[in-house]
Amino acid sequence: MNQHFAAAYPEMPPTTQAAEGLMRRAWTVDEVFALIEAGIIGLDERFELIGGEIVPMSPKGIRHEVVKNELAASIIRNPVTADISIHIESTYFTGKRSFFEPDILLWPKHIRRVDKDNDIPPAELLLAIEVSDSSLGYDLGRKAAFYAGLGIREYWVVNARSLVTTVHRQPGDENYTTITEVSPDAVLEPAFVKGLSLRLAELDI
Amino acid sequence: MNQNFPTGISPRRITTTAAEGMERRAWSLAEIEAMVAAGIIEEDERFELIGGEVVPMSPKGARHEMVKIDLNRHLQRTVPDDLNIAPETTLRLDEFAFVEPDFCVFPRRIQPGDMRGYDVLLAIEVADTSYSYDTGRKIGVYAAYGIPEVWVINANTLVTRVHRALGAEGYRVIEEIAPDTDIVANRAEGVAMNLTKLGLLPAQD
Repeated sequence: MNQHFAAAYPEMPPTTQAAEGLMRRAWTVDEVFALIEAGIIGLDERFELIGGEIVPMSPKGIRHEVVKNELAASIIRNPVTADISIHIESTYFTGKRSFFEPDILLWPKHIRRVDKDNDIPPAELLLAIEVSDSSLGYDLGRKAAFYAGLGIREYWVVNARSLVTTVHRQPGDENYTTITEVSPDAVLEPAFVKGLSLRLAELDI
Repeated sequence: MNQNFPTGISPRRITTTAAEGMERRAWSLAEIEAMVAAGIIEEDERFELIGGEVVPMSPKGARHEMVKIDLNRHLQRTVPDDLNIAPETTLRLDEFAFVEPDFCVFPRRIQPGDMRGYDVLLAIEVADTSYSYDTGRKIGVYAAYGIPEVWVINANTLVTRVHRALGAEGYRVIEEIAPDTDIVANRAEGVAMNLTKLGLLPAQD
């Protein structure tokens, strides 16, 4: 966060890279919950926990919200997704020291989410979608690497402005090995959701 | 999950650099104190707060302890009446930073709890495993907070790196001084040491 923003919104905690290159304390998911319960982390703070580090999320614009909701609605309304669970902006827990907040997450309905210590295994997820405006660089870069490292099989990054979708498949150790850009008037077909096909140009955006 | 995820996590799974290059949430001194009060951070956890980030301190070896004990005895015996020498005290630098130098030399009229960076006349670090940090990043922190003189003693070689003449760009005078040479503090009048005369010998290897 820049200094002007911090001054204008004194209730928002500042961010830092001061200890770049140094080994920093890693927080566990349980510690983060305790920090919230103790009132040290505010309930209104939005962040992801990446390998034990708390990374605040950029504020999302209206365009992001419109694209996310229209896209989610079109997936939910399609009869082929009847046996699929679709969660929107849900916190996805993975391991003791990480959680993410993908915009849209799909997995087979027969797998139930029970508690944060046993969330859906990454390899069971059918598709993760991020709609990006200000966070495009992060979503295409570090986040793609994290998701690939977890073994999430398919990951879409939808550019909220251009509606170009970057489809990531074949997760490898460092990143996805198949990355293609799909224009808004071309057909998007997720590999693991049978029968679903979408054209973002056809959404009411 | 891929074993390398998230990258940078240490085998002990306590420290991390997973979110390197990203903006991370900064903690204030007040928040850290609240964490200790809430039992989220253990009282015996040893760390420094560098620009809002929790940086655990390396465990200290036998050489470090030996040098520190002998030096402490010498300093406490010879310190002039108007100065205090506090071993391993928490030095609060600002709302987002505190460090724990091995020795802080400061005027006796200042209560140890009230001591701030600008009160310290001389900071002394005894470094074994932390030598590169103590002579690198940490010197930058001392310079930024206006500590006029820092001695970093290499616990193995007993060579002391003396940092003086603090200016806008950091310490302008940095000298390596052999163990058998007297080192006299610039600002903390009456504080001096000669490690050989204390009976200390370099480590043999």
